[in-house]
Amino acid sequence: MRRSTPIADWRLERYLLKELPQNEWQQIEVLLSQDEQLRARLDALRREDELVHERYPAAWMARQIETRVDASQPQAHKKGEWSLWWRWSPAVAIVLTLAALPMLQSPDPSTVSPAATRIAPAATRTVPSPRLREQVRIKGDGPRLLLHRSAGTETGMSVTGNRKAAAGSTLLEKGAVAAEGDLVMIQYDAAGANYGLIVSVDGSGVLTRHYPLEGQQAVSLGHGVVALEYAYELDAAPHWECFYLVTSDTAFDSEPILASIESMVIGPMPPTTLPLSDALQQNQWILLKEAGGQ
Amino acid sequence: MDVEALYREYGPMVMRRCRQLLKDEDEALDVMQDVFVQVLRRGDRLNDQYPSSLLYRIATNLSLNRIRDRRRRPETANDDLVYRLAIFDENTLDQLGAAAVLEALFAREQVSTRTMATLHYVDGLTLEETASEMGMSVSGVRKRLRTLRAHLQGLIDETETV
Repeated sequence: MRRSTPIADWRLERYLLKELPQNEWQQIEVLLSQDEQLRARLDALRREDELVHERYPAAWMARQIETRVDASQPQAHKKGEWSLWWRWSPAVAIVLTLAALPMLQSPDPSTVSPAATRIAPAATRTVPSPRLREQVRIKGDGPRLLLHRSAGTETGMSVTGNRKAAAGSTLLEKGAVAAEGDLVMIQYDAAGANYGLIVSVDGSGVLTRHYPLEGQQAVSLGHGVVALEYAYELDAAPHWECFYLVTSDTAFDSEPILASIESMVIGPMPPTTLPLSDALQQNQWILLKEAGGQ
Repeated sequence: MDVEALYREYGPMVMRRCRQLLKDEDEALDVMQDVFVQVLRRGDRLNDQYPSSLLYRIATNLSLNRIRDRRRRPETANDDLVYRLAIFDENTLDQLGAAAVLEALFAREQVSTRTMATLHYVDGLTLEETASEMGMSVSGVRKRLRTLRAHLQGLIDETETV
């Protein structure tokens, strides 16, 4: 852990954060112009910063921290979980709105199933940031999952296991945070692929088949955006729920895929993509769980 | 305080610090969240010119607490130094029967000795840099570290020569 150059890691951290006194800042600037190894260390820190934000998105982490703070405070100060979420993350409303734009623009309305049309959320046009534009572009590139949080729990309907999708849902952005009891409605866009399956695994390692519900083979997929008949109620499993849409142009056996998921090492960090053959495509969708669900 | 913005700015640095000391991703993630929880509870302290200093110290301290609570010794010499620092204000003092004396010495912030020792011996900050981070005089830091070194029975000296 000892430093190998005159600049300690901690100084470099503060340089990166622009929190060094002016004279020290200038000193490091000079060293950076002369020391390749120091520049490499700085680049490594920058890359690691990006990785941390990718693995633990700010919106999700803020909610985790808020939940901990909230849990440590007197009951009288607690507020509704979702109202807190919106209070602390106004940017998320913008993100969700932007994520809904492609729903309004594509695919061809004639190919959208009635169910999908019914639950497509309203959106306000806003100019997206470059990063968001990139996310929107990527989404249209291949088979994809679309997840919505159902408003069913807010309309007083009883919930026992899976249930039919309801109107008034909210399209979720990847990395969105959800809680035990939330209803998640699943849509897929096969983007021309003929066969597929949809499964999810939770932070306890429990695998759930969403489509098809049984059988050893992937099933024929519909065209355009297709909504599954049933919504999925999140249980108390911790950390995350990871959904996979696996597709192919030809029929394929689902068992190796299910076995691959069941053999995952489960921990607080969401899993990565599945090791699949080149003939198969996959779209992974991670829903993060609130800290209380542990 | 906007915790999302705070995490976006300082989260990676805090996470790195926790990883560095804990060498365990899950524990680092857990402790990192605790760091921000503590900061939110004492939000007014973040009005410093350089909030990263406070966050770094809290991350160091909470990581040392976690190491102390593991109650297991590490395998490498350098990690053993961190472990000895982590348990310093509890087991070591109790074993030496010196708690009463040092309690007065460390009355202002007892854990700061562990943190400053980590900055100096583990992170390699100079005495001047350590003093600057801790908001103390160089002579004050030197005095504390001398006392600490005496109670760590030569481990630090041995590690320094490795």
